[in-house]
Amino acid sequence: MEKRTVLFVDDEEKILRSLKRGLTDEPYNSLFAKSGKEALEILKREEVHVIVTDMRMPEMSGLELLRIVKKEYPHIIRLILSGYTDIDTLLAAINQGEIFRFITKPWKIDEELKTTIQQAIEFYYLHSEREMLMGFVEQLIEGTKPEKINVEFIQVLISIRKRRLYEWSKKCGLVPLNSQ
Amino acid sequence: MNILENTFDKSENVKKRSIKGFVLFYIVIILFFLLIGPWTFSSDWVSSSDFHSCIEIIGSFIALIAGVACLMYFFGLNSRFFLITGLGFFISGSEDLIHGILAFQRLFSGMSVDFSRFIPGTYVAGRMTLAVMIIAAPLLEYGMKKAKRMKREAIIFSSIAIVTGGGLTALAFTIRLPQFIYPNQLISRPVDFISAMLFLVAFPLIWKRYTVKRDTFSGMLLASILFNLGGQVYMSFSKQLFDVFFDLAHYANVFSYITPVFGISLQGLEEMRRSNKELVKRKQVEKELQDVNEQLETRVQNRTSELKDANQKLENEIDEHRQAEEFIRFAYEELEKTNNELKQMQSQLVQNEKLACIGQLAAGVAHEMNTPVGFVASNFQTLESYLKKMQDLLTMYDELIGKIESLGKTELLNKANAIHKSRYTMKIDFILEDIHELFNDSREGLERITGIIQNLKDFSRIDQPGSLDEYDINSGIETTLIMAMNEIKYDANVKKELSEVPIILCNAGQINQVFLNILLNAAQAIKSQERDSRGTITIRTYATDDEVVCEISDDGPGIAPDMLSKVFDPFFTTKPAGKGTGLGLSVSYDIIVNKHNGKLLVNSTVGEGAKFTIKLPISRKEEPNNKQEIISNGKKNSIICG
Repeated sequence: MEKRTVLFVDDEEKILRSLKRGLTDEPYNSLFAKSGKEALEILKREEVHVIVTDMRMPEMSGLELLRIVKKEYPHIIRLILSGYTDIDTLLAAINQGEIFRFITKPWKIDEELKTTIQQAIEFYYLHSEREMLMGFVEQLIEGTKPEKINVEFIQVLISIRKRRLYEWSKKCGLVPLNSQ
Repeated sequence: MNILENTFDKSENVKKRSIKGFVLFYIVIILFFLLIGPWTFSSDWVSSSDFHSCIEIIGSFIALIAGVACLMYFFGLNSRFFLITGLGFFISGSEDLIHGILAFQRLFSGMSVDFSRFIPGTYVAGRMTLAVMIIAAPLLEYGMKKAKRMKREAIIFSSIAIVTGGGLTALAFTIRLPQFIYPNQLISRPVDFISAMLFLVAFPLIWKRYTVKRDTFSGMLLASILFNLGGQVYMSFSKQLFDVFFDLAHYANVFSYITPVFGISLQGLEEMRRSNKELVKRKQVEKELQDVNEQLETRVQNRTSELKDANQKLENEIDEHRQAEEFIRFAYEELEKTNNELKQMQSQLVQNEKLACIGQLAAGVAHEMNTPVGFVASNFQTLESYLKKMQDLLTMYDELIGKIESLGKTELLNKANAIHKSRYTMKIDFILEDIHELFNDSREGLERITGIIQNLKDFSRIDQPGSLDEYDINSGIETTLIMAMNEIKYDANVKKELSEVPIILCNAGQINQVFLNILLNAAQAIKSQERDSRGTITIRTYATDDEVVCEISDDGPGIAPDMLSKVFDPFFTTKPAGKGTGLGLSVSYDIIVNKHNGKLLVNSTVGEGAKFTIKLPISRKEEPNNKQEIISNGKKNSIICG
């Protein structure tokens, strides 16, 4: 399973550093950008799955950045981490940025930040899975035989599902039927 | 005259059947005489004692009727005149009756007694009584009051009349009148002539009454008097019994009785007619009166209802007025209340504007605070996990040391390798390296928080109204900028051109508020353009001879010329509803111009930006609006400006 990538954007370097050291043990790659511009450059180079941005930044605000991200990389799950919490900003973020979550500064690493990012990654999974399945179903309906690559994909998908089921049953205290 | 009128109330109303009637009557009588005269002279029968007696008796009856009628009139009209004349007629009638009976020769032909000597006496007595009564009647009528006790008066006058008549008769009997007959003289019967003279006297009296009263009876009485007068004159010419004069006198005598009966009858008729007419008239008048009364009543009713309506209207109007008055009073009270509320609200608004200004800052300040708090808190949590990892590692080392003697070399080596591996997996080296940075970052973050709090404290000096502080405009700008930078820094750079200025005495909080206001407006103006490049806000301070000047200019969109005059108006704002109070510059103007005797100017070119110039006087000799005590201070350079 390939590693997911999370991009953090904040004009305050210390924030980025604190995030970096807080999330060192997390099972995903973390990338950091000091401005919207830098973030967009990174997005051009790297494949990013989740983006977490501050709202108030010089030159390009978080909202502007998210607008661009939404337009050009619609599959990226968008989050906000900001200390600027007036209602207009919140409304604009929710309605214009169509964000997944809004995390306020100061944040709690374990209970809040980590779980939220994990949820976002999960959401990304579900989203892409759904899209792939939809594509598969479409192909079936159209009558064209699924290509070899798709068969492999389905197998991978099944294995992932099995593992999820296993993890879930473990959580619930059940004996897994088909442990791997 | 007046008495007369009063006595005889019918006066004027008895209208005067006009003298025409009487004239006609006299003409008829004269014609009668002209006809009867020749017949009388040629007839033997007529010139006899029988005929004479018949005439006398008939005349006497008529006279009695006249008398009775007059007495009735007396009681009816309550007029003494009628009583006396009536008595006159009554007595003379009675005399004539006696005279007529005595003269009836056939009746006494067989008797030995000769009554003939009484005959002329009774005749003259009757005439005289009549004349006297007729003279007395108007005189008594004029001279005495109206009859009150009529029965008594009737008795008294009757008695007098009877006594007079009786006396005269007795006299006639006694003196044997034929002795006074002088056939050779012109006036052969002087006694009769005397009575004629009496009638002559009576005539003007009655005439006067007639002219005053103009009643029929008086007129007829005049005729009667004339007949008597004429008759008595004739009689006085009579040379012997039953000659022409004698006959004419007797005819005249009868007519003298007939005329008053006529008169009284006519007058009665008149009276009846008149009273009837009066009754009708009265009824008519009554009816008219009733009509008028009714009309009056209707009019009164109408008028009353009109008045009522008018009254009602008035009352309504009064009510309306009262209501209007009450309404006005109520409205006035409401207005006053509203006015007070407005005043209160205004002062509240000014206060609110200050708060809004701070509130606007608060969001920025919160963000500014949340950033360091954010990473410090995050670092703190990370530090906890770092420590846990260190503790784990240390525990592993402790175990290794504890087993160092009991275990073999290879085993120890394996253990040490395992520890080393965990040290690697736990990224201990990174932690050790990072921990310094963590502390540095956190320290810096805490310092930043402390700084912000200090700034807030400095700025919160706003809330000491009225106090005067030594104030360096440059340091004021610095303080304000720290606060405002949170808002400005994302959109604009601040260029400061501050030169040394003298310290002035003013309300620092208020002046800071003005700076903040203008700076925030500038930042918002630049932000509203949403341009790519950052804007610039330039702050310049300098001092002239008597003023400290601060210019704050931006390169934003500027202010349109028609808006330029309104920017200091209360509630004028170009910001969307709910964003600006529209009081910022108005309050600033108040602070600078009214409270500090300074000047607040604005220049702007659309597209190039706006420039606000604040001028504060260095020394203020008069302080019309600010009479607080100036706090003296020890600094030599400070210039007191109030």
